[in-house]
Amino acid sequence: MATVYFPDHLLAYCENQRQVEVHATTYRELVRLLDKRFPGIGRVLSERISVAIDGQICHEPFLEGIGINSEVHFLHPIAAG
Amino acid sequence: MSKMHVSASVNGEPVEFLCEPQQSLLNVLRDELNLTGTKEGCTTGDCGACSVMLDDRLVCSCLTLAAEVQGKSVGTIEGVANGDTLHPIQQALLEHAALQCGVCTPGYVVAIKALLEKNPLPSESEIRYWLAGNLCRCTGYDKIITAVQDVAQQMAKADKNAGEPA
Amino acid sequence: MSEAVNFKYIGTRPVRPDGVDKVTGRANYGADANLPGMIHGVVLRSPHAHAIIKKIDLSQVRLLDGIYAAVSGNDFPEVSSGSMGGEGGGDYKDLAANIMARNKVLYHGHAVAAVAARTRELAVEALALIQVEYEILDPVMTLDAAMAEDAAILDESMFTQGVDPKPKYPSNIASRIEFKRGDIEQGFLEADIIVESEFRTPTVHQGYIEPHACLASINEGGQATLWCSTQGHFDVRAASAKVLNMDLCDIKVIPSEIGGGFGGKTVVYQEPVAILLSRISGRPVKMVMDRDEVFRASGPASASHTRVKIGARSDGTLTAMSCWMAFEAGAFKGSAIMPGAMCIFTPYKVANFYIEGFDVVVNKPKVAAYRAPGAPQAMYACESLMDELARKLEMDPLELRLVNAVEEGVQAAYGPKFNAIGFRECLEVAKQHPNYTRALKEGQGRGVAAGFWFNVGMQSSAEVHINENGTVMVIEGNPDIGGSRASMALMAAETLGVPYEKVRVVVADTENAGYTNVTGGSRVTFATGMAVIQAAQDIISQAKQRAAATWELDEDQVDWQNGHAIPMPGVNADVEPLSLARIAANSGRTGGPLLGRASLNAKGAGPGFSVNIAEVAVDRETGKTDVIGFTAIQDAGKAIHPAYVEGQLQGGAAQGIGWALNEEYIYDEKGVMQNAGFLDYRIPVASDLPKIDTHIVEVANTAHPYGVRGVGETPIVAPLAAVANAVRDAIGVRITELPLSPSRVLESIDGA
Repeated sequence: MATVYFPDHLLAYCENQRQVEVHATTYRELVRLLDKRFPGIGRVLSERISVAIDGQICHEPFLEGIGINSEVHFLHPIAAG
Repeated sequence: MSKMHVSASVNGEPVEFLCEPQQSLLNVLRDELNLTGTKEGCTTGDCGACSVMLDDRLVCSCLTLAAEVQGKSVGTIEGVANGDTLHPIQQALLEHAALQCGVCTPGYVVAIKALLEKNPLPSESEIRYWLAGNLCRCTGYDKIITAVQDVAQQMAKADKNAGEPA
Repeated sequence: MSEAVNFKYIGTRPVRPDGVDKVTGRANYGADANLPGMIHGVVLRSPHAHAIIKKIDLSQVRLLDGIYAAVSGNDFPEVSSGSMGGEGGGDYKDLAANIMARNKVLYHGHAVAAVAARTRELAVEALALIQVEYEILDPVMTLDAAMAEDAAILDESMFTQGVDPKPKYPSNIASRIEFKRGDIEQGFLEADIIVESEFRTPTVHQGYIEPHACLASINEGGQATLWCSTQGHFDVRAASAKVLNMDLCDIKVIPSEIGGGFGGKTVVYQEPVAILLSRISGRPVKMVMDRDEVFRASGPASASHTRVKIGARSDGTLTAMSCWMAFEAGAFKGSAIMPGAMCIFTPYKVANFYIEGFDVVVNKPKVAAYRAPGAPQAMYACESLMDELARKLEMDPLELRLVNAVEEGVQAAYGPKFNAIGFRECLEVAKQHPNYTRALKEGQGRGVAAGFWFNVGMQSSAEVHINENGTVMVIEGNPDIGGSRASMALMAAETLGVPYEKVRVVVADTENAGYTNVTGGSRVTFATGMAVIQAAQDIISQAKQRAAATWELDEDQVDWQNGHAIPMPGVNADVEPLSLARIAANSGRTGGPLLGRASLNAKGAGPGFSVNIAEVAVDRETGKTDVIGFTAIQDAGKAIHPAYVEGQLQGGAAQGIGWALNEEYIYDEKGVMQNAGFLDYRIPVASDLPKIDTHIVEVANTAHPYGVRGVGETPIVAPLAAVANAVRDAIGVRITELPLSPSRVLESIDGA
């Protein structure tokens, strides 16, 4: 099961749970499963968000693979400079 | 007002052009003579990107009226390399990676050449003060200064060798 | 490929491929292009910082001989609200209103109208014939004024985002953000010592030497060609299409050479105006800002106000960190408050933190990215207070940072866990550096500070074409702002095994390169480099197929080494190795030209940490500070061309020193900038600076084939606090507002 960590600004969407376990193989699937558990969070996790899977930051994660023991963190997208 | 007719030498070649009395040398070089190697950074004489030689004097071409160059000789970046060979200053700037965006570089080449003609082996402090009128926002100046120190040594050595009997 | 590798080309310092053109004046920058029949566009700018436009009358100017077109905001299509992407949360509607004011002017210098004329001089004269009626409003020039309850409101439709419940009244505070972890109150209770202070930084400009410049030409079929100086021509295309309601495919953007940007040329100002003027006049239109316009109407970076509080145990272990920070966004929402807030405490392991940030509009030009946007202001505050903490604890400031430094496996304040990073290594190098321990004289001081920037990936494309003699063309879409052609060529040479001198790099326009995000975010060597490497690998795989076909072997029986196809060990084939040149020469019989390509959305950008040591001498009579030594230490992951990496460290240091000591926008009470030129807005000149020593740390980023992190942004982050801490060391007083100008230093010395 992958471990998903929610930052503060997402707690309102996930019943204040800091972390949850999800069995998913891609980011898309992970979002689908989370949205079932926490209706509404799917939209938030699909728009303007970056995700770090095992420490690697992806800008538009959509199809990104999730490992069995992956750690998933969310963060605001960074660009610029 | 009618235009002024000016005859001058640019990079060793005779040139004639017409200009407005208030037109700057920079403007004429870039827009009338198509010598766009000389860059415009400010038009107020603060950045040095438009540095050219007027006879043996280093000037900001943005502060020089085009009409002033009547009968004089103008040296721009386009005249620094010798045929297909770069000037040692140009070579040194390249080898020391002394440019990043490169827009200030033509002004530097002209200003450094003027410095070394007056003062072949300047100290670091002399280099920094001479080049204080040439702004570079990319490099922090470090590699430019090192390149000047290096090329000054090289040119002095070459001059010495040239002066010695074979 | 993080293990030690012997590279043949990577890590060497060859002359850049575009070098000769740049030292001879041949390279063409934004203002260097001309077309037959070309006319010149100039902009009429608002003389007021805050006013309602009652009426604009262009009828007089349109009658003037030699005037070909005149436009105001009314001549542009309505643009609906929509996110431009990027961390600033910029909006296309605001972009359009910034390019040409509609209804309201929001800063002195805001574009109100534009004309195109036979000559630039005539166009400038013609501006006087444009009649604009204004209703002048109170200018809102500072964070304090903008956030005050009775402040004049810039945008009546703006309600603060991120507060609950939704506010009833409009505000100049565009948004509020919050990050927290742990229990901040408990954290401070656990502290043996608590320090707190507040810090302010002024509005500063990127200060690129080349002003914004473009040349637009649109044909009778509505197809536009735009030549311009930009950090990202695909973004210019997107923005121009949006603002003019044109189809993307009707705009071709050719990037000129670029004379500096530092984030400031990721934004579009006059390009859509030039296209519109060209459409109306039927002629090519050139627009070049003058320096005054660059200062008044482009860039700058946010002024900031940050209150920080740090708690620690007596051994230096941090127990709590909190801050309140506000950034000026300028005329429209979208400062770099988000990345600023995300990085302020990132260098440190701390269980309890609380960060509150505000994005605030004021009557100044809309801010643009400036190298590690948000980070210098944020970390100036944090790193200044860390210095005070070290003093209170009587602890070496580097040691204090080592005790708390983040490392691999630690969860960053902004979310994910770090993979391999080089922060501790940078701190260790600093501790051992002779510049950290050499003796200082009376009146001199030393300061250290840490810097951090995320670095980013994003989208890049690259093609590698093999010429018929085996030489290599790399085609990519990132304007070369500081030597990136050289790093692309080095990575292609290394991957293919061909000499660097045989590789040429083309920065292609929007019709000839695959879509590529901007040159910025320290992403080019990392992300576009990765695309170039993958495109070269595509070539290798094709070259192996061609060799296999030539030798009548299976593809998996062929290996690639040192630029040659060879049979795999153990394969019994009596053949000579085939060079890329031989394979290319015979490509006609083996399937046609060799063309490799790659496109990607790069993931795994490696965070960049730095440590700076500043040494200063302060003249107690005049208050003038001289930087007498500066040492920049940074983890580059892998330095592809070390001389250009050093150059990034040195250039960022110089900009940071300018930010710390001299640079600031000075306004009068009407909101008019008083120092819009390089004489009065003083960026560091050669005689202001010492040699800038560099040390490149290389902790490989495992997500990149050669270990690259990206280096451009981080160098500007640490110098502000490093210099401020050195001045504190020299004069014995902490000044909490930048710049540390002579008058401010003198006041502090006299007041002490």
